[in-house]
Amino acid sequence: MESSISSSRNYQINFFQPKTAFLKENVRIIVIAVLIWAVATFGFHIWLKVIEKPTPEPGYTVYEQVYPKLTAGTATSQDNISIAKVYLGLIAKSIALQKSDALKEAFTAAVYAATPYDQQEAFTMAAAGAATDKSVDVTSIANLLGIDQDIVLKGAIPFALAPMADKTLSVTAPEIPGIMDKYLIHYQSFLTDSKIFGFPFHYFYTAIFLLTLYNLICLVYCYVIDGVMKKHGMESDDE
Amino acid sequence: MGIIKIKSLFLTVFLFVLLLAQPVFAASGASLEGGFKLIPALILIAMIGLFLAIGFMNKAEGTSDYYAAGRSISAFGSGMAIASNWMSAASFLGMAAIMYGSGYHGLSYVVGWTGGYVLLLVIMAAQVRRFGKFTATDFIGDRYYSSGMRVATAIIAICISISYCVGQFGGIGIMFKWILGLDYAWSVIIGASVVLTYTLISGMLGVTKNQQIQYVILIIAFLIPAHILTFKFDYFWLLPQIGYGQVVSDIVAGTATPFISSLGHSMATVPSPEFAMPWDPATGKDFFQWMATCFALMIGTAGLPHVIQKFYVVPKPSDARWSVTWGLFFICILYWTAPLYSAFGKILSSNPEVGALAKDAIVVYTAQLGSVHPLIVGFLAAGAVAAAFSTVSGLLVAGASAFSHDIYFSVFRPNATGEQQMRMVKIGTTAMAVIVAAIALLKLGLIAQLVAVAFSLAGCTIFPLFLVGIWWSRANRAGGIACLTTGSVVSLIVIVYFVAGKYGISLPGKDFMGYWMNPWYYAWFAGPLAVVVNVVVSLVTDPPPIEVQQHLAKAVHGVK
Repeated sequence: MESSISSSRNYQINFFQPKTAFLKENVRIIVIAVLIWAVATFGFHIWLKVIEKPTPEPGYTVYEQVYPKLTAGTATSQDNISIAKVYLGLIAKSIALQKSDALKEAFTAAVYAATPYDQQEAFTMAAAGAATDKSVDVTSIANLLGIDQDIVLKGAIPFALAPMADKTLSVTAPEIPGIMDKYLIHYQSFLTDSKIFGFPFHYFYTAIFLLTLYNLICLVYCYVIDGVMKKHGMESDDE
Repeated sequence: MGIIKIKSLFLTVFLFVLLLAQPVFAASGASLEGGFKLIPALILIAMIGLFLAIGFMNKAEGTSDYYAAGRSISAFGSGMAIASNWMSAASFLGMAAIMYGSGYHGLSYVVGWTGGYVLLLVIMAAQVRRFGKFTATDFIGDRYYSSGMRVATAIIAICISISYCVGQFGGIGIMFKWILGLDYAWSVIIGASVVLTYTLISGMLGVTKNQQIQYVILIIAFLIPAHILTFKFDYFWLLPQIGYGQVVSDIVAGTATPFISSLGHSMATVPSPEFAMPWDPATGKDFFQWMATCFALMIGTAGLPHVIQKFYVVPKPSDARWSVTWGLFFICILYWTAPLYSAFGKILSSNPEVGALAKDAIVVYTAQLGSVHPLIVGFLAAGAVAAAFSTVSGLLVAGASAFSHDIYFSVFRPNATGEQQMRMVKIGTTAMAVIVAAIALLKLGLIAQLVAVAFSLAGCTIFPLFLVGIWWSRANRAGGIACLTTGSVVSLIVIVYFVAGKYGISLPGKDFMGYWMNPWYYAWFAGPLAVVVNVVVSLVTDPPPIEVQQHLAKAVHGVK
């Protein structure tokens, strides 16, 4: 009985209490490798999270200045142009937002409000036409908004117009503040704003460096553990 | 030597066919969607023919060959096979898709699917090989001295293989749809039939050798368009894996370039920091989800039976370690490159006129939008199919092995002849392919997400059993059963919530489950929970037999 207990103890394996010289060395190497792996992967991202700050895009600042005036009905023509450009930028960003009726109607209403009276009928027709024909001429709208040289924003105009024939569109909507917070505020820090090889630093770190590090950990581990095996007379060639 | 010559001959013929096809293809034009595409179809047929021919040359002759390729594969070759087996539709198509749709969140998949190999290497690879069994279920059956555990693990292994295959069949369906212009359902059915035939003919030995050829072909197919895209758009093309960094910054800043896409749109976008900023609200993914996905994929990687099984095809334990290292390197060649497609895809498809593209096909669409030669686009699409094929064949073998070897042979018919076992392997393979194709037709999610379910399942069942079983001799049968039960029950609950949600059925606490225990990453909790349960239950029950502890200590940990 005693002998059985004794031999059982001899064969006990516990990662946290290695007994043989080989196991002690093996566990030490594993702990080092896993620590590097964990800190590099999860430690970096915790750091990224800790130091991040909400960073609004310029459009968000415009929105914060203009939107209260739009809600209060005190916005000027220039305010309408400014907010229309913000709305248009959002629609150019995301296919999901190209399907947002609230945003499209707000954009259309803002442009309409800024359009000189004698051109409003033409604008209404263009807005109606854009629903079916995305090649509608939007030059006058682009000129009004001052984006005639901006190929991206200009190209997005037909996708931002909502028909306004039978209804009065509003330049504000309950959904809009949420859209602004979601799409125009990003979480940034010096890790995201620094550049390396053209990448934002954090992106390079995750997409390129971490993978390289994993390869290096594996390579070094293999070399080291082969030596340890040899030292302890394990894993002979004929095994 | 003869085999190498034959392979070289096949490769030469394949490349010759590609060259001959060029003038025909140049005239066929390219469109993003629809229509039968002649030369991609021919490339695909030639590629499948090549794989089948080489599979036939290396036909399995016995169960040992079928399961573990007769332990004749070198570490380098096994590493390439691991990479080919690994580089599935999820890697080839799915990763770029998830980065295209969810920005930086997609990198959690890149990191999770590579970082898991470090865990696999340092805590499991050589130890599993030294334990000296054929399959993961063999290990668990012996380590936890329970034929019931063997059967249960075999069933889990089959579920993992099925879940993994569903995503692959989805990828095959999407690419067949693109190439052949067929309906998605028919594409899945045809793809399933071809890969099943191929797996049945060649078996594991053929598959493993094929996988080395497949790796070479698919990595070439993936890299060539990457070089071309960076060259065409004036980025650093010699090393596109670095060159696309400026594309990411251009997307963030909204920089317009002087280039035009194949649809005539300017290569420009409004400033879109949401593409690269971490856990950006616009992507709908947060910090917790990034970390949970990454961790779940890592432990899932270290617990996938078909990956662990690869360690049995190398002659020595040290080869098992080196095969992981080589495998990771070969995998990373693709993983370093995949984000490039999402970045170019983002900027090239930003014009609203392009409309919504199928995310899972964004790799191919990106090459098309970037005016890459249609022949190369066809080669890329065929490579995506090859990626799915190589993985599916390995998974079907792993699943069928679990069915035949671990359930039929080891439990029900220990005296079954080799012929009877082989028959059961073939029946198992066929049954699995049919089940997988049926589930794939339901289109339950993106490729990468569907595959991630398999990882979470492995991460909370197989991984804890291996981790505790290898590194703690006190772990016993009761602990193992409790561990496996915990992982399986949590998985079942998560899957029930997921399926119920898909069909509009509202279960209590669905929002909680949808966020904290999402099917793509629930192993972040269930994995550690299963480990704790294993330890606690083992401690309050009798220790394992001395023979089990002795084998673990002597064979695995070198205790004299």
